[in-house]
Amino acid sequence: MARLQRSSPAQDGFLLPLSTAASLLLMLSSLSLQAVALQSRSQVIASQRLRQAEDQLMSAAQHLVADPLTVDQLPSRVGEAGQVDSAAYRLVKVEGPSWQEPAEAGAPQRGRAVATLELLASAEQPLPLQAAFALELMRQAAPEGLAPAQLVSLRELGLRGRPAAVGEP
Amino acid sequence: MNLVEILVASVILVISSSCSLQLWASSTNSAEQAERRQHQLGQLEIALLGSQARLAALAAQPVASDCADAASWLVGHLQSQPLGAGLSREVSAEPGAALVRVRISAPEVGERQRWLSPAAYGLCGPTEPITEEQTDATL
Repeated sequence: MARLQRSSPAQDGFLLPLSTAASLLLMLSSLSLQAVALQSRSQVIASQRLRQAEDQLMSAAQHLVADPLTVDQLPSRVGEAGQVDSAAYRLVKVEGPSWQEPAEAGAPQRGRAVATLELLASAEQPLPLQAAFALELMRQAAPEGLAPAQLVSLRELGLRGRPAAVGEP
Repeated sequence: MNLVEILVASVILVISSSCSLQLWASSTNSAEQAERRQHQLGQLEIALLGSQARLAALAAQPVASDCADAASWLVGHLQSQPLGAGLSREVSAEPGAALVRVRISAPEVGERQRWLSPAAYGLCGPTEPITEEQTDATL
């Protein structure tokens, strides 16, 4: 009887390392799952911030062209700063406008310009962001010459990255 | 193998299993929440771009020569557009201002807002405005 109750030396201490290894495995797997969940959460928050910055840039572009009489003077307004709500912005660059020849005589002439705006750094957005916007223009041919340009569409061309990266090849 | 070893091993296994289960539950909750938030962010984006697309569809059809008048017309027009379930929209224009604020909010992700200008889509300006009948026909 006494021989039956005594375990062999090989069996001694077998259960403890096994359960420790199994516990470690369980903890590691659940911790890695938790890390993935936290990462996806922070990605959602980051994308939310980026979208808010895009909204502010779009609002800035709309604010910039809110006066229809100043569309013609846009290239001379480079460097101009403004503010919409709490977001301060600056017009960095204007390319164009380039005008197409009208398809038929008397038809309005269509043109295109690209304006780059910079959202200045703030508490919400620690680094400045830039975005480009395409402006579709139209002007009527009048007997006394061309009428002033009228803006017919404003489209966002997307973020242009950090200002330091802008202009690099 | 003695009783003490069995007991200690069991305690270790039970504690780690319970911790692990809690972490799994919290990860699953967090993943579900992130997915819901992502979905709502997408809905907000659709609603906001929908308002902007409405303006782009009206492009170059002036509704008023004065941009402040066009802005107040636009408030009513955008307010009447359909909106996704679970979202709320607020469209407003300050008196005399030529900008319209579109603010769309969802319960979990907060709100997004954009200022839109009727002048950016050729809805106001020095050209002759089209008549109300023409505007209605194009909508």
